[in-house]
Amino acid sequence: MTDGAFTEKEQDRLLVERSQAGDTAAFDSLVLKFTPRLYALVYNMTANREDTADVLQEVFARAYRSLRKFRGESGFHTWIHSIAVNLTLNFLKRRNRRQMISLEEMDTAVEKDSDYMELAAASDPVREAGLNELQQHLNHALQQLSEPHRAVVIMFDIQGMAHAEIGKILGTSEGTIRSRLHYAHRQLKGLLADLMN
Amino acid sequence: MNKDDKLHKLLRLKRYEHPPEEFAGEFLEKFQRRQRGELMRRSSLGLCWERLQAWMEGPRRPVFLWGAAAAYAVVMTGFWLWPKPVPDAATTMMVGTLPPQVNTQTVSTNPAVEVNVSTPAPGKRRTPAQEQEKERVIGPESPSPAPLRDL
Repeated sequence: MTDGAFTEKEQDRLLVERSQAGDTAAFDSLVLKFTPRLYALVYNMTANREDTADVLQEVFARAYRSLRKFRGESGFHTWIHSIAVNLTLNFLKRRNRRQMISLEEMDTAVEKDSDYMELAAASDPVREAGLNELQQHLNHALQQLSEPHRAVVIMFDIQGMAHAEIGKILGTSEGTIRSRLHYAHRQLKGLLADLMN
Repeated sequence: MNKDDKLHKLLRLKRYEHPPEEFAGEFLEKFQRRQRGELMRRSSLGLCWERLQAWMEGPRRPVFLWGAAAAYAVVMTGFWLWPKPVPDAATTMMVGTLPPQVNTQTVSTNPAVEVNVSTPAPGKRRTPAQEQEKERVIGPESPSPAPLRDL
């Protein structure tokens, strides 16, 4: 664990303790801090920005109501992510087939991203597909995955979490996470074959 | 670059799909409105109970406080629910109008010794032997006994 990570965990712990003591400003700080990360998770699961905002409201409301039960055995980061995953999965079950995709615009900074430049240099289809088309392809492929597989791909590939942490969030073993990831990657390679060649 | 690397890098591009910068602030405002609305709907008793629970479950509260609080609650409940003695008509009759038969009282300060003193029925005198026995045990009769008060 790096010093930075430790400090961040400590900061979270202090904010949680203050929130548990009734300091709403401390909880507001936690909301501001975790909104972007949880947004990415819920948004990539739902592929709908309006639904994402609604689910996130419920996530923080649930977290606030349950905060006094939080003992700090896992980090706040893990705890709130597991709330977000569970609420999102429940939401997706309810939403069922009436899925409407509404995507965020891709930040133009992506054009200066080293991975994007490397991909564009190595692959004609990636270079030829504009950013919008690339975005459509990726989202379509992700939405084809089952929800548990999608959750693992989002947390591992997009958010960069470790297998162990994803296991804690989903309440499953690291082996199950690796297996889901392997299966999901195989499926995605098939779905994105035209971009991969 | 192998296919796994390619796929990982493609998926990482999705980090660039994010809401506009003002989203977080607006989201927080909406959350605060919702939170206040929830607080307004809850009863003050519920809030007090929640605060009490939060205090009891605080990080530095020893666990035995819960036990002590529970024991105190049980004792106080027992105290309030225990039936209070009420003087009834039967008690008054027993003091004020003794029945006409001879009563036997156990008079002794020493719990190891039990002495029975016979009290004659009203209107009958004790025998000398009874008088002597009574004086031996409880002393001579008071010249002006305190009047009995009807409780």
